[in-house]
Amino acid sequence: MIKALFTPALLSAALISGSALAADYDIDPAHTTVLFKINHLGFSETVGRFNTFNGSYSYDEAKPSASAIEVTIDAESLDTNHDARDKHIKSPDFLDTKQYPEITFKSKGYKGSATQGTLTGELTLHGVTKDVNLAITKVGEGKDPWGNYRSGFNGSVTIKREEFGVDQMLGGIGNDVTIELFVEGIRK
Amino acid sequence: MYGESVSPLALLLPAAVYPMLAAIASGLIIYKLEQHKRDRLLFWLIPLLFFLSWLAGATGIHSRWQFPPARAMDWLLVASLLPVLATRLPEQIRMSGFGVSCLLAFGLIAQPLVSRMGGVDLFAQIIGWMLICGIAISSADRQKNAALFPVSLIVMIVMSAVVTGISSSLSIAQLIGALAAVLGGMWLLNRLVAISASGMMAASQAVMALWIMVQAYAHYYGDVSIYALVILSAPLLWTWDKQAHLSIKQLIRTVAISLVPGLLALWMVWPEQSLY
Repeated sequence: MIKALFTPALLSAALISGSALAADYDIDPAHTTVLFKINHLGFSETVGRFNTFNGSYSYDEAKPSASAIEVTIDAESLDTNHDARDKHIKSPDFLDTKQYPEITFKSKGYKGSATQGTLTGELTLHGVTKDVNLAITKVGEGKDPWGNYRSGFNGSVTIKREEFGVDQMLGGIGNDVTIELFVEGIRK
Repeated sequence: MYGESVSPLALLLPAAVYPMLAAIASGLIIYKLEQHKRDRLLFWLIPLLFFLSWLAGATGIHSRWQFPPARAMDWLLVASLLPVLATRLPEQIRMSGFGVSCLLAFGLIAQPLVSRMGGVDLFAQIIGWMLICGIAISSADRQKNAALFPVSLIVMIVMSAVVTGISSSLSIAQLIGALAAVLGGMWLLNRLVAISASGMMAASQAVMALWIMVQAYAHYYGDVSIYALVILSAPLLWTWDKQAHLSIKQLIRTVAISLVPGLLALWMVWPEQSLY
């Protein structure tokens, strides 16, 4: 009888303590990069990045499955090191950033170890939301020289732009877009 | 632009061939109805037919078009009918009616942008567009030469397609190009069968209304310079001589006058870096 009463209570306590241990981090834009690359005519990969974004994540080394991340990217901050091309990619031909100014990713679950795994979540791009799986690798964590606690991860996912309604010039510009995240966060 | 393997024919069909064929078919309908003196029917049918002719191409360019509209370009293909029909309002209320209809239509198209605009900005945009639309329709109303005005309009439209394509979006450039094809089709047909001057002017005004809407879309969604668009549209202010007959000399003069501001606009938007 006592065991029956205490087991759920102990389980709840364990769960609560688990989530309490999960640390929340703010993404540090100065040490975070959101890159994408796309094939050009079958000859090369063109690389671009988004310069403005914000977000936060939770990470607990002891319970990696509780990890979560939310990122919002300013689509207007796209930068491929070519002004005319940037303007074209931001136009209604591709990202239509005036209509869809934000790209967001919100995780739904994580599978894997504390250092490597797959983060599943919803990517909203060009007004279309789809589930994607990010391959995540932990780079490291610890205190910086100023006493802030930091952790860092790399993530990568390849999406088909056509599935997000970005289907112009599929003949010459690849359908596969690889998005790479290099994230560093400062613990709150 | 990228040397991609998309066939030029696939780009050309919706931007030129389909709208031109649809406009020629519309022109033949107008010609037949004019012969049967169906003036009341034609009054509203002419702008509607030219809107549909443009739509024949536009739905091929914006292949994800859906109804009811969900995205800005979906709205563009529907709401543009309002200013097109407003070109047929009675003369005493046409200027204000056309301006209001343009604003209403663009309010629908620009919903995501309007919701992000501040009050002062929105007010300034409304005043600016009312002014532009009012000047455009009153200039078009002053036109009496049904042969030269459409030529001038076609040149301006082609230049705005080039300016938009170079500085921003190929799909918007195609939408603009489809307008040139529509008016071009009607103009060519008019060389073969005699469509009335009033019919030709009504078709030109309908196309001009559509052109204003697509240019507004190009400016707000494609970030095409408003100064370039206004400069290339300046020949609208030129009133073509009613007595001037269509001759090679007149044609060259009309094209030249209409082309020069367009070239200036093209120079304004030409990218500093090489095209890619």
